[in-house]
Amino acid sequence: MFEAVYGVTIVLFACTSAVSILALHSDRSILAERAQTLFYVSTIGFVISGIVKYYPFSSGAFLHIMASIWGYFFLLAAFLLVILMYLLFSKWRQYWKSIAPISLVFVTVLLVMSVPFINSSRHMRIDLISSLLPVHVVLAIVGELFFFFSFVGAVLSIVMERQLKKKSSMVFIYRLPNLETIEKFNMWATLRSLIFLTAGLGVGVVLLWWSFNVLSLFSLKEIIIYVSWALILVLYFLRKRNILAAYRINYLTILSFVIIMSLYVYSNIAIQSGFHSFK
Amino acid sequence: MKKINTVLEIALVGMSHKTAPVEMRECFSLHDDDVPGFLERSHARGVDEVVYVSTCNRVEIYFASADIQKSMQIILDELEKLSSLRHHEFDAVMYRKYSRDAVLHMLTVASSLDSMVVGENEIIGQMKKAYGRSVQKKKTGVVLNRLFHQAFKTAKRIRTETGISKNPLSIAYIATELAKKIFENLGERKALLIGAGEMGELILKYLTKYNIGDITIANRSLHNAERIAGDINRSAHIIPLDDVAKAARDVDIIISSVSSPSYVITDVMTKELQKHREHQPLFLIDIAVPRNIDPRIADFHDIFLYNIDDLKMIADENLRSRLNEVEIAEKMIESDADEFYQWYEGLEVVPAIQRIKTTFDEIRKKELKKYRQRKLKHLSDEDFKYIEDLTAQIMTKTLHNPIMHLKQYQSETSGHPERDSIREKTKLIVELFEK
Repeated sequence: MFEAVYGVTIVLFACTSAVSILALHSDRSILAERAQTLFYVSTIGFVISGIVKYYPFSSGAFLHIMASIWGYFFLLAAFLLVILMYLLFSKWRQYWKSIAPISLVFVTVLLVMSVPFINSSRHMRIDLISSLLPVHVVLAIVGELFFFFSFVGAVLSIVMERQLKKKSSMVFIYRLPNLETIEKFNMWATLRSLIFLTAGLGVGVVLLWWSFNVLSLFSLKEIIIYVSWALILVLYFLRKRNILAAYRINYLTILSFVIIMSLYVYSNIAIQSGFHSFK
Repeated sequence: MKKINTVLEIALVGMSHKTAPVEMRECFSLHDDDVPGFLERSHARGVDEVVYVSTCNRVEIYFASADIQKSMQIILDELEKLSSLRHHEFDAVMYRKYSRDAVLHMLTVASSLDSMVVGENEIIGQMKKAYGRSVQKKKTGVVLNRLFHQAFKTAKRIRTETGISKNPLSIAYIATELAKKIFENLGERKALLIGAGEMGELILKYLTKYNIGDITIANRSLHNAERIAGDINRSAHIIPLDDVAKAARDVDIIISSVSSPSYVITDVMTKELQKHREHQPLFLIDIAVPRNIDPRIADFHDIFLYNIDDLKMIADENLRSRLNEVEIAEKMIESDADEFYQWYEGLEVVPAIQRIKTTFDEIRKKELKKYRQRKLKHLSDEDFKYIEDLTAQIMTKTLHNPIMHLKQYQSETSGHPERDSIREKTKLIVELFEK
């Protein structure tokens, strides 16, 4: 039953991604509306998958979900969908059409990547039982996901700058937000990424201190998240102070995201020993 | 017996930039004050519904009438009188369209597919004005009201669902649109116009429409610079040409159209500018020939340089992309015309339905009256009202199914060869009840 619902959800997200790419490519408002409708339908499918997988819910359901490798992917996709939904009703809603294609493809990739782990017995050993643990997880995940939106903005900005420099037809230029708005979106996402990640790391450090009387166990996953945080901090200051040209910061953002994402996936899937890993 | 309306046929007669030269079109272009008279006379002579549309590209008269050929003749007579031309003199450039062709033509015109500049927005306003004038004079009815509303709906749909109106074609407008794709809010941006060229002034005018922030005008003749500031109705800093380098540091948009043997903005100067600008984008528009801005600057990041050829090339590309949308728009017009036509053909059964209902209702009322005077004399008004309501309800329910079948049959045979057969049957029903 679950496999069928999850399979349908992945197909729905793949269709939504295709329609949203087509909507941006063709600039047809009807396709943009359909992409939004499909987004709602796919999200409902996603929620149903979660319900089918975890029903009946126990009191420690969240810890149970985040401790399993599939559940971790599920949480990543879930928070990404929450932010996407938020964007749809926020001041960025008119740019949703431009932001959605890359984001929805990313959701689809996350869901597809999670498939081999549906029945995986690999679990993260939870050494710290505290009510702050879900807060730490949520803040860290949301922080990383906001950095994903900074990556989306960087891609859009580079595409827009190239289109403006290319001096061809205005057809594609009209489909994207203006350059200054994209830069503002990048700044908005980077700042939120930094705030959430800092808070997530802060809570993590407090938890470690309570449980082990240390500030860090220096596990690979911890180091990766410190590196992510440092990169995001640097990118934030580069943007804030206009130290580099926007295009350079955008390339750095894309490069940072690719590095962080690769390390993130590697540390979660490949590493099976030590603190924080799925054993 | 009450008079039952017959279905009006639709037609149009007119000429456009495609069929007639401007000297011919202007003969039929009426002054606003003369249009009501034309509508009044046509209506008085038997044209049931009429709308006169006149733009710089076309003169068209849309009309609906029970006797369409007679009405066509009336309209042509009136046009002959108005233009002081003989019929044979304008016959060759005038097109006449009937029924579905007329509907298709109107939707095409309203969607600006027949305009000189495909995708322009003015036509819809002009058609709304023309229609409004006829409505005001009560010279439209069910058919033209519905047709014009369908045309406005189709035009809006095409504008929003295709890219036909999206890409600008004028150089000045393109420059402004590009500025809007670089900067979020032009109100917070500063512009510098170098030279007093006509095109530069036009671009500045467009930017002013979008409330561009501070304006600086640099020119050899300060008097001309002041004139431009007056023309665009904005206060501006007026500076001599020699101060351009200093003024350029604080602006975001530079429009250059001055006659100069060497570059007014060089690459060295731009590198210096960039140091002050902290990577803020700079939009440069060079519309001078020979060019005022060193073309190597185009390679600098955060700088967007467009010369007159670049803008012209974008205009051509935009036109091509508009034309690519025409095919999609034509399909939409076809489907909307079908939708209208389905409704329109539905009107054919309306007289029959009206006739059946009227006949039954007249019989009902006559019989009730007879009974009220004789056998139902003893009933109070309130009780008699119940009987009246009851009989009306029985009649409505009895007729419901046949009427529904008639409507359904009509809609199912829309566009089919059996159409003529149902038309004959409908006519027969009307005649049966008339006899």
